[in-house]
Amino acid sequence: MFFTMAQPTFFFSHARRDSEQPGQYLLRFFRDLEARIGAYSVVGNPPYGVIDRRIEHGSDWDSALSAALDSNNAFLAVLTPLYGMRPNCGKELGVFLLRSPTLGVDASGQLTGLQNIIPIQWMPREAYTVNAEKDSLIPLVLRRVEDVPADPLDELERSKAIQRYRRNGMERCVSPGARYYGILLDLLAKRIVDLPELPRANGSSFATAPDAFKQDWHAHFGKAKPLRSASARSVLVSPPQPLESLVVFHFTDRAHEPAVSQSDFSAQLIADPDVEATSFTEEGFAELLSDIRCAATEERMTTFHAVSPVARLQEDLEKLQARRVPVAVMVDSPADGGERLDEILGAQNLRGAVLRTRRSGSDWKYGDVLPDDRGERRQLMRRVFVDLRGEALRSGDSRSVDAQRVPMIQPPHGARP
Amino acid sequence: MNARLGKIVTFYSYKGGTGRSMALANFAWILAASGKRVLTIDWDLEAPGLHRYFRPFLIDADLFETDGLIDVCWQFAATAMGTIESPTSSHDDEESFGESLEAIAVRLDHEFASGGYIEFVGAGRQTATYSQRVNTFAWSRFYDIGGSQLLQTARRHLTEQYDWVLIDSRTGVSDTAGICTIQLPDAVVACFTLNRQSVEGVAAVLESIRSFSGESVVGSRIKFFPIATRIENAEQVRLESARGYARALMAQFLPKLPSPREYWDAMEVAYRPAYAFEEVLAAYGDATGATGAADTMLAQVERIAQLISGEHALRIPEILDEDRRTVLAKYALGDLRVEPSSKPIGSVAAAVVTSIKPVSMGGIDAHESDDGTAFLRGVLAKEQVWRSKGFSWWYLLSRRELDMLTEEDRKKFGRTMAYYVLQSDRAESVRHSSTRNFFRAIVFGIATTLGCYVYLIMTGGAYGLVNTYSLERVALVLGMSAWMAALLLAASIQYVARDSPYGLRTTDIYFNILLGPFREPIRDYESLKDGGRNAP
Repeated sequence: MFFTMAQPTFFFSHARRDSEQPGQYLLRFFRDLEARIGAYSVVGNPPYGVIDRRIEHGSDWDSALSAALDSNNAFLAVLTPLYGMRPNCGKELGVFLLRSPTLGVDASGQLTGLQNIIPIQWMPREAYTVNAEKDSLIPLVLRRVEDVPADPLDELERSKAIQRYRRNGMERCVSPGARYYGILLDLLAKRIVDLPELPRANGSSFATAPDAFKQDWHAHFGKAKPLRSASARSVLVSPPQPLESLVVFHFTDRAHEPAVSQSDFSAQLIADPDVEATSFTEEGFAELLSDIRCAATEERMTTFHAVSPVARLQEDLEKLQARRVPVAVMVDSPADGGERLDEILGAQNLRGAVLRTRRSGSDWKYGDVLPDDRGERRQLMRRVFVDLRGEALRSGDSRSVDAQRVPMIQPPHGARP
Repeated sequence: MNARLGKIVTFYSYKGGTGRSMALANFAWILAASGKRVLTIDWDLEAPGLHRYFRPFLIDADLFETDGLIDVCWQFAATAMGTIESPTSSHDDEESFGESLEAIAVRLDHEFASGGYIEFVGAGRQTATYSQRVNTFAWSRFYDIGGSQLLQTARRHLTEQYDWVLIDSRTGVSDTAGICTIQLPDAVVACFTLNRQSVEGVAAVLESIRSFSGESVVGSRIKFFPIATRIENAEQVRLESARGYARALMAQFLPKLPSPREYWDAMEVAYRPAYAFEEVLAAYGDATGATGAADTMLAQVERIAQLISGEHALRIPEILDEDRRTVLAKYALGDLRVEPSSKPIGSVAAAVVTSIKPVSMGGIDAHESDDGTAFLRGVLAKEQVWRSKGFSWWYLLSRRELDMLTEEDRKKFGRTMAYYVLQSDRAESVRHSSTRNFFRAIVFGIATTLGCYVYLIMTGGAYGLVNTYSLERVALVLGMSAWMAALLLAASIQYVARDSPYGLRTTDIYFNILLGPFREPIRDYESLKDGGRNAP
């Protein structure tokens, strides 16, 4: 037998939403993909896909998942900004990765030889950006894996569909009956059906599986960890955009790590711990940064974590506000005679929001104290960020050459001279 | 290559509760059922409700996860602001406003046989920050930074992508109402109830639209369609006086029609309690087909749609009971999900669902009942195609389809099936009789000619034919027989045409008869390459 066709089974890995329920579009996408695979595949029987929702809750949840991960031929990673943070997703990927016989680490430290893994960009491109680093929220191990096949540019409709997918993410492409959705499903289904067979594994245990995102792959392959090249530090980030970028200035005494890139609007940028899991950032502070970014993403804003010393804070704030960029100040450390900061925060022309964590103590005069509960905290942040954006829009005086007045209709007797 | 551009119609009312969103949703449905590409936009940001009518067809019926209009507007305010702040930086890869709207539009999950579709843009993602997102968006600032130009470009783009763009406007005199009724549309459908406030409000607004003239917008080119809704046939005298007042005020805004009665007979919507309590599309709330009626909401909506669009063939296709029940159940299920308490929902949709008796399939096995309904569905879909594309008689039922039915089924399905069977039978008989008549005509013509020839020989002698004058006489004889044959042919055409099937064009019959056995046979539509879907 020279050629065996693999069963087109796939494992649908996704990060569940806050309420632990996969979203409606996700489920729909899953069903449509299964149906499309059924149309293309010659071998195999439905159901082709495994999604955690189908597995009944119970004591053998883990073993059901592991069995699926051991036997499914493809791994579909539905990337949302939070995907790389979920240990469950990391473990699912970990079990599956270990089945690739060609798995290895290359000289620069990247994981290579991943087989039969298909990442799906679920959200628009901007949602994966922190500190203007594109795709930074896509887990490193998946960043170089191809999702949609290269576009040979010979079919206009196909190019448009792929372009639409890249710009808006798959969620916005789920539109029953729409041509571009059909094209994207076709591409994926054909890809899954045509995948070579991956050797199965046996008896993996979900509980003891490695988290693919946090695993030290170098150690796993017995290689030394490469040093981070110093030249990467001098990249200047693209500037924050009016209304859609959020810049948060942090005042904290907790451990954090500076970002790789540099900014011209603040002294420094702080690395988002979700981008590259570092053990250096203190956990509580890491959670805070994560919450800020999640809240901003929910409101379709991109985040910059910035740090500036008090001496230049006022100037930095004013420059950004002049450019209509929503700014906020996050106070996380106790006031220890920092009257200057208090002055700045209380100044009339500071139209940014001031947020304080509970641990910053009660000596500060200004700022809303954030609740400790992360969910509530994000809710509050979202409201604050939306207000900031509204303020940035309203307070501007910039006018375009095309400026016009809003057409107004009149009620009865409205035109009293 | 310039296809015809689509039209933008805004549905507006001065006060709420006039049934504006319902009219829009039903109008969209009728258009899509007739093969149009429709985009509906819920611009009522303060009280979004259009999505409720489309619940069974939306993946995310509550719009928790779906970005909408206000989200796109924020995105565009950011872009416009960015262009002003840094005019030198390039924005090559940016989508236009119209493209962004198209990107977030979700297609309704319903297949229309005619190939039309409805895409829906909600007001915005319904999360905790929704009202903030709406209230912090300063439209005047949006216009300051070039929003008007963005909207104009969006208009152009959308009218190229869709045949109809329907906008559900905010009530009253808000800034978004101005944008929806002046900046964007080609026509404004203004709904009002028959109380003074509503009528005077709408009249004043229409007047201010008409007299508006701005840089890129001229209000006087906008067409108006006032609709009187919630008409109750109770207090006769009051109703008459209210009607009179309303019609007098609206008279100056009506489109040109021979008489106002022609307009108002179509553009009044009676009050129907069932529809007052919940949001259901009339296509499913009312019966179609044999049990449909002219005094239903559905029929009224059809008349409105025909008048506004100018296309008098617009009609909702017949919908099978089973499909109707399924969709109504989805509407009802939505209500149940929202109110999980033990109170009886009293949903009218649920009541209708239980009251529709399931059509028993009779001769078709229960096991095969899916085939039976699928078959019926196919037949109804074909009828819709016939109506929307113009009748082509080779779309009639195939022999094979008819064979699938037993006599029982033909009785049980009522008019629907018998109607089609009859058409098919008649078409079949047309074919037979046309062949018969063709041969009859030929035979008669030959016989007449021979008869005349024999007669000539008998009376005039054989040399009479070779006589130089006989050429004229032969020509005369031939002419006479041709004339007789033609008369016979005409007579048979008359006979056949009297009995022709519904929709079968007389020209088709003529050609069929004239060509005789050379005419195209009634084709089984399934043998057509594309299943007969595209009319040649």
